[in-house]
Amino acid sequence: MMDISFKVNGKELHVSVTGNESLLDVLRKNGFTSVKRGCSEGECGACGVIVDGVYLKSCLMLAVQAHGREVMTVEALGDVQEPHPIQVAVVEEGAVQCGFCTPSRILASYSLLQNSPNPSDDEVKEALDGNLCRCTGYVKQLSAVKKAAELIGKEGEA
Amino acid sequence: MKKYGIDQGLPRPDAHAKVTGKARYVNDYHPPKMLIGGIVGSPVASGRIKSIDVSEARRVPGIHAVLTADDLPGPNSMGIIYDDQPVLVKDRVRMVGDRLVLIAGETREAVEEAKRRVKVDIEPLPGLYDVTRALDPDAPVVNGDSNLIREFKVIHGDVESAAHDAEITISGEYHIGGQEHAYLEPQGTLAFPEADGSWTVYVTAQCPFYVRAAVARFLKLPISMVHVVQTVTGGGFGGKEDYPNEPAVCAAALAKVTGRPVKLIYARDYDMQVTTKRHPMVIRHTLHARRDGKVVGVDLEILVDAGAYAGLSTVVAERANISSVGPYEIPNIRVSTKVLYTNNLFGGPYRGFGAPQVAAAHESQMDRLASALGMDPFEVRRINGVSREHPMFASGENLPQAHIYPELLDRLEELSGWKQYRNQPASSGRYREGIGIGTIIYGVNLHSGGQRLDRSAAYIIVQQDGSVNVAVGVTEMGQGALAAMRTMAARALGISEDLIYVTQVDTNQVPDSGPTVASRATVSGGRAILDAVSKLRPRFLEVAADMLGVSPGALDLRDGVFSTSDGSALVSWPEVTAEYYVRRLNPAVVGWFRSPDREYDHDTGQGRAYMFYAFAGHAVRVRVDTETGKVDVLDVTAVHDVGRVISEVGIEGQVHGGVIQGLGWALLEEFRMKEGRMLNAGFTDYLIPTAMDAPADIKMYFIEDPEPQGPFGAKGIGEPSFISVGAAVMNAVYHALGTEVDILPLTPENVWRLMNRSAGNNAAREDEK
Ligand code: FES
Ligand code: FES
Repeated sequence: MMDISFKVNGKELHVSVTGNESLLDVLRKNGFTSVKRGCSEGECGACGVIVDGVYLKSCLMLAVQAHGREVMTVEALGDVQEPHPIQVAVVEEGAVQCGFCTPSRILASYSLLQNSPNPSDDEVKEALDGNLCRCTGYVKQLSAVKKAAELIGKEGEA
Repeated sequence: MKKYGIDQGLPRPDAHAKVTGKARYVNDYHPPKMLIGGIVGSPVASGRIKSIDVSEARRVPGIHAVLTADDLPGPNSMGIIYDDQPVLVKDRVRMVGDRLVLIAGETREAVEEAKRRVKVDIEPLPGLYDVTRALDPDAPVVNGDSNLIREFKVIHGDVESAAHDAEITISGEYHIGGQEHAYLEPQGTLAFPEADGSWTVYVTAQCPFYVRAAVARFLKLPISMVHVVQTVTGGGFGGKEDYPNEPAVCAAALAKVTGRPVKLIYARDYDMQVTTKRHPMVIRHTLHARRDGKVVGVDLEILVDAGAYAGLSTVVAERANISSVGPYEIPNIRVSTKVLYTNNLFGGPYRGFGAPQVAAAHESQMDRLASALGMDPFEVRRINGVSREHPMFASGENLPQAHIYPELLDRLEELSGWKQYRNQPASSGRYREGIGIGTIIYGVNLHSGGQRLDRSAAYIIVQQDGSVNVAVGVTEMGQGALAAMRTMAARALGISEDLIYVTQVDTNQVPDSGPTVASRATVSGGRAILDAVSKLRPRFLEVAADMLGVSPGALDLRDGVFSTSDGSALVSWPEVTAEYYVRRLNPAVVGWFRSPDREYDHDTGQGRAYMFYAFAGHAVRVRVDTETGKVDVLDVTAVHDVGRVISEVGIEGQVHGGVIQGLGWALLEEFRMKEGRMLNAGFTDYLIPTAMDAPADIKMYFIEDPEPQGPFGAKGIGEPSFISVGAAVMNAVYHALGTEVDILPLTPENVWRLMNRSAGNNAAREDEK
């Protein structure tokens, strides 16, 4: 066992972990259940989080590698009372069905829009390519990202 | 601009919880003292157990229970229709992953360690991996006394004489692949004993009432003592119909032995290997016709690969059987559908219930006929399709909805740009474009064979403040049932949707409402709601009338206000509900729906098969790379006979999802099998469509011809959105290449084989075994 500490959504987390526990294991054990386990193999994308500003799959990262870093999950983005514009766009476009792929896809979209505030259709598809969804057929998810870009743009002007 | 729908356009009720990560799926619950469950499965598909040694596994620190067949605290049987499946195998192993040992421990790591320490010695036996050999005299018998689980038939007219009189006969043998549901949330359940002797089971499922029955039977408890709560469910598509019974019973066994809550969540590779799949089918289809395009007879043999246990395969086959003729009036029909045991993957319900596989065959045959006669595919469908003048379905029923099919063909032809694309000069370069269609008829709700389950409840409580609780027995698995129920309850009552709160299924709240399958949620849940409202509404009208001093007959409740037609007397819904409580009147009611009794002859497939029918059609445009065999989809057109749209956003989402899942089945998703093992179990090698695969355009049109038996005229869309996609892809590739297509999926390798076969190399079928 190793003692590590890192920040999750701005709060310090001190935990003991084994050498082969993934960041996904540790986040879920500590109550961050918005981070989903769909495969543990780096293929479904349901476990996406943002570490030091970079979107990645938490099942592929060892927990020890998170030591001293900053992790963000969808809980930090917004809540029911004050949703983030991406969350608003996903709801308004009807881009959520079963919802299992949703939290990580919102983070992938967030990361895209940080780097590219007005992404092209192809950029959006590429950015979401690692986030499998079996329900929606992706169409509304792609339009939700475009809509979110618009909403964020408007917020910026205001 | 919103074109369709009777809803208010509110976001679906579960949307906010889902986008903020607050929605709780079964794996998100951690009651105190909870243990983690695990399963040791068989490494081989066919064999006899010589020994299972669990002594070392029991010694792993943190392990509380290790159970073999001898240690089970309940009956070792689990089949849902046939008693052919054990909870844990004692001697004969029949499929890869067959359960041998159950384990419960403090942590996942401990359970994994214990699993590794279980020593199993299995003597391999010859297996059956080719469904076409299942009835050979020397084929190994997989289960029971014969590999034939059941045969279904359609016998109508005299196909022999049709064959004799026919001017042209088209025959094909279609090898249609299976499909993994690939719901993003894996199977899982959490079971625990309560202090009073009752049990609670949390489960991701489409049919919580099935789970309740299975757990009660295993624990030998009255049904009323088992409380099943459907947690937020991360996709189902049929994969969470009967299958969840299995993890639920396993978790209950472990919880019973340890006295602690046990959570059992499947790892993805295990989930893909062992859970139910869309059935691979072999379909031998012979069609007899006249030169004017009229089909005079069809003769079909359908082999359904059920895997080692029957599960719900017979239910799937029953639908495939009657759907196999398609939306056509054909005077002479013979269909034999055989459900067969093999040592392959476990077959079960999957969006469309066998209809997509048979549609792939009947629609390919129609296009072959068209091409043999030099006709347009729409023309042969117009000649043979059901219509007002020719309303007869394969079951011998005259369909009251038959007039919708010709309209559907017109819409599909127009919206897809058929005339333009179909008549483009054939290209001869590397890339070839083609357009193809598939059309289907779909029986909504359960087949008459399952009609005893075709009932549904809605429990409605009106609260003092005018808000309303609605509990229904049909489940939300992502498809939007909660939103549809909310809309229908609000519309029927005459109040705003934001006053309605609909809960997920909880078996203690509503009577057994059957399974949420067969696109029946909207119809059966909606009809139960309408029944409840028809009992409740007059009670409130009466109180309102009394408050206003008018007669109840003079009042209407609309948009939350009771008023007379001239608008002179007014009182609001919350004022009336408050007064209603002051008067101590009963504010709750159970609504009920049962589908009409239907006569059906199982030996001939004649009678009333379904409550009513819906039509659907897809057109798909493709571009085939003749060098690599890769098929790209250019656009898709979907036309649906839906009766009435409840929510536009909801129905669009179903159509998008159905189309992409259908394209995945048709082009990408393939089981790579070796002696019953799925070599590509896991998302790494079992590829499902990603955002990059979404076609540029999915055009859709909804025919709104209200169905008298549907709530607000609605019919249901979940499965039709999928069913004819595969058939349309096959016909598009047929058009592009001019090569007959008799296989799915059309992976690059399979397209290659088809092209080579037509070039005179007939090795196609051989090397695929
Ligand atoms: S759980 Fe990490 S990618 Fe699937
Ligand atoms: S909404 Fe179900 S997997 Fe995406």
